Amino acid sequence: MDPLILVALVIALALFFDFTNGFHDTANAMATPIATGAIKPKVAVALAAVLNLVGAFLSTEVAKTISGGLIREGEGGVQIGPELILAGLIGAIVWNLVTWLLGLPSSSSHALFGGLIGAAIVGAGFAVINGSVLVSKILIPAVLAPLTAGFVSYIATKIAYAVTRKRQRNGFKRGQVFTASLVSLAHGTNDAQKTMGVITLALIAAGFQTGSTGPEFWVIAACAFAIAAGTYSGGWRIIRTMGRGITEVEPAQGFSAEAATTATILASTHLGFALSTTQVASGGVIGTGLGRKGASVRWRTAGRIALGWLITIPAAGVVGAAAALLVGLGPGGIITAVVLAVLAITGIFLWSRRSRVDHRNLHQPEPGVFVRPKKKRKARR
Amino acid sequence: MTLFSLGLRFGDGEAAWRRPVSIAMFTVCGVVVLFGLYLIVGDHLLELVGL
Repeated sequence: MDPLILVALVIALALFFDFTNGFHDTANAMATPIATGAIKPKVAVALAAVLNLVGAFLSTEVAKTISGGLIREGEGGVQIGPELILAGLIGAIVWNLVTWLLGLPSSSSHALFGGLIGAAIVGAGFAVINGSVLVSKILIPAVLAPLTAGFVSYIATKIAYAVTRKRQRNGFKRGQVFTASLVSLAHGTNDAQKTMGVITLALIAAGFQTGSTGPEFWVIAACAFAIAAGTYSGGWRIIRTMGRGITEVEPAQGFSAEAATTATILASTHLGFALSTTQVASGGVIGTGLGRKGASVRWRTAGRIALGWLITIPAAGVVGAAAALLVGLGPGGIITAVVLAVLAITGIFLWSRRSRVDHRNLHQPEPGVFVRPKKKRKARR
Repeated sequence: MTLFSLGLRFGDGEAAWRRPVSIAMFTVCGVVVLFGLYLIVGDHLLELVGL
């Protein structure tokens, strides 16, 4: 197949992945402010979209980790071709949509890494995976980042409840708009870059760009717009799980969780760690649930999310590997893989319409409902 | 977190000195956040605009 057509296919699929990454991760920033009534759902996703767009232009460290680190470069350049990157993207997109259908805030990043690793192992062997980058830049941050965010969120929640009185805590709603905006900005700096990294990797692999270089400006701009569009479309199923499923979130808790999430993501972006913003945000929400006296964490939901985290890399890897087997058959195999992927995507979208979740049927509490517990107790009696 | 919480705490009360102290807390909080952002993405931003 003509390398130009192949690279064009990879770019199209990568941008579609970026779109799914956007709507899958809208919840990271906007689930808690929507849950507390700090911001209207449609306004929240519009704000998140704009800030993701801006954030995508602010850093390229993570993109460099993917384009110049995860897959080894040999004497002839990157050791996998664009067709294997295409297979990896198919694995990532299909798994991302499956977890979206289930309302699981799983990691889009890990889906991407899993898909790429599975495809690369089948197509070129274990040796092409740079084990030290995989461990130091992806796996260790995957474990440490949610724990860090959870711990920071726990401490922040304790401070918020120790310093303020009950009637003052409504003020955290205004703060939540800022912290949620910062999470969106941080998300743009980290997640949009993963797709930039993949496109850059494909351009290098096909010989359209020299090795060990960062993303071109047009790649940055295209990825920024794709993730912003995806964010605006809103992943309402996951917003529902994160905003209401893990713990009942009060404004002070939402503020704490988002502040911890932002700090963790931005610091990781600076260090080039391609971490999962979803895991960080979920860690922040769990930490804040533990930090408020009287609040409880729904460990069953948290357990479902953790299971999603554990199986994301292998599951996306299996789909990526299966796609790699197909693309290895030649142009016919590549076309078959793409057609099967399109059928799977269409099927998942059609299935999702059977129980539609959007901003209209997303539960949103009355403003201030969480900070008037006394009134609520009287009503129950 | 501490500065924002203190801003809310001081913003609620009758005494005349509380409001300016509250505003000062929110302002310092905003400056600290902006400085944090600058430390993390400032270099890239300056590079992007060609400075």
